[in-house]
Amino acid sequence: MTIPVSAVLAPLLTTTGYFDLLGVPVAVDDATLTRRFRELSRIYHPDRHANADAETQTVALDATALLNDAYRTLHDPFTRAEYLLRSKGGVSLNDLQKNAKPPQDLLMQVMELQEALMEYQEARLDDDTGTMRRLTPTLTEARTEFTDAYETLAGRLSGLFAAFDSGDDRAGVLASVAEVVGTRGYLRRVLTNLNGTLTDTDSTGG
Amino acid sequence: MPYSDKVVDHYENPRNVGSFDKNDVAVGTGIVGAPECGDVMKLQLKISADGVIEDAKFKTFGCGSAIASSSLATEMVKGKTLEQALAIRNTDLVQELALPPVKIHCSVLAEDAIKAAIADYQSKQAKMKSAETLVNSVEVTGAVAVAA
Repeated sequence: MTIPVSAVLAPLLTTTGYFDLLGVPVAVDDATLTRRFRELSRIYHPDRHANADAETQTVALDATALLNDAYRTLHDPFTRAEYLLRSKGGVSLNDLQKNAKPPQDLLMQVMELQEALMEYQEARLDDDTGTMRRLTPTLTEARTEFTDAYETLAGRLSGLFAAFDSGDDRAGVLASVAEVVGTRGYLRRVLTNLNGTLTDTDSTGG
Repeated sequence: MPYSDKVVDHYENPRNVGSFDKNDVAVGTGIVGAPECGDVMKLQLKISADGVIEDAKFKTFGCGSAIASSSLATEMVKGKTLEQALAIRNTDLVQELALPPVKIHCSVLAEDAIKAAIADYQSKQAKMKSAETLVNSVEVTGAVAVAA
């Protein structure tokens, strides 16, 4: 099959955003996103254009790289949210950090939890099983709570993505997305720490 | 990129690590964070009646630069008036610690923490003053009641 590849590929490289590139709405579901990515990847895969002219080969390579970036970025709801802020809101994470009002309750909770984690880790080094036993319920509960909170955030994002597509109050929607993205950083950090610390206990506890 | 000697020094021997009672009216507490990396920083100031920072403590869960920035910040604010402390800029920390550009946000965090701690102290003092006014008026009313 011969297609005028350059003609087909060129517009792809000038497309402004990942959503346009893949031809999907911001609120695209996982299955549709993956299907679109595979369809387009098949068309532009460099192997299919191995016998084409040099220019077409270059374009095919660039297009494939672009498609991979787009898919990787949009596949995860949080990186999709960050991309949305960057591309449509003109918001960089740096600005977000400067402007976002820090959620004081969350920061306080994170602080206390990190302190408890540190105490627990020190107790483990000292073989202080009493302290470890005292802290374990708090940390285990926190892990459940933060895991739930993390999932809730991801859920909030799918609602916000749909709201963005509907076109109403985009500035308001983007502000909420920014808030979710900001909160996520803290939750992820604590969860990584909790999971790393508690896994060891689970395995020694049998 | 390797850390500067000063960052390593503050990281390995952090000054003024710890906590004050955050309910103490003479203590201002600032908790700030960086959403990007999830770092959290708590900076507390103990402030005398005449508005001088007598002591400072911090706890930071973050990278070496964040720890060094807050450690240095506690050293810098001690003995300063609130006004002088508010004049400390993140660039002062950057310079002293020779922070690379990618770590400048850590120094911003420390500056924000100082400001947040002072704001917390000032709002506590304001609340206490209005509470005192209230107590005084209650005492007066009480005295009238006893006299009656």
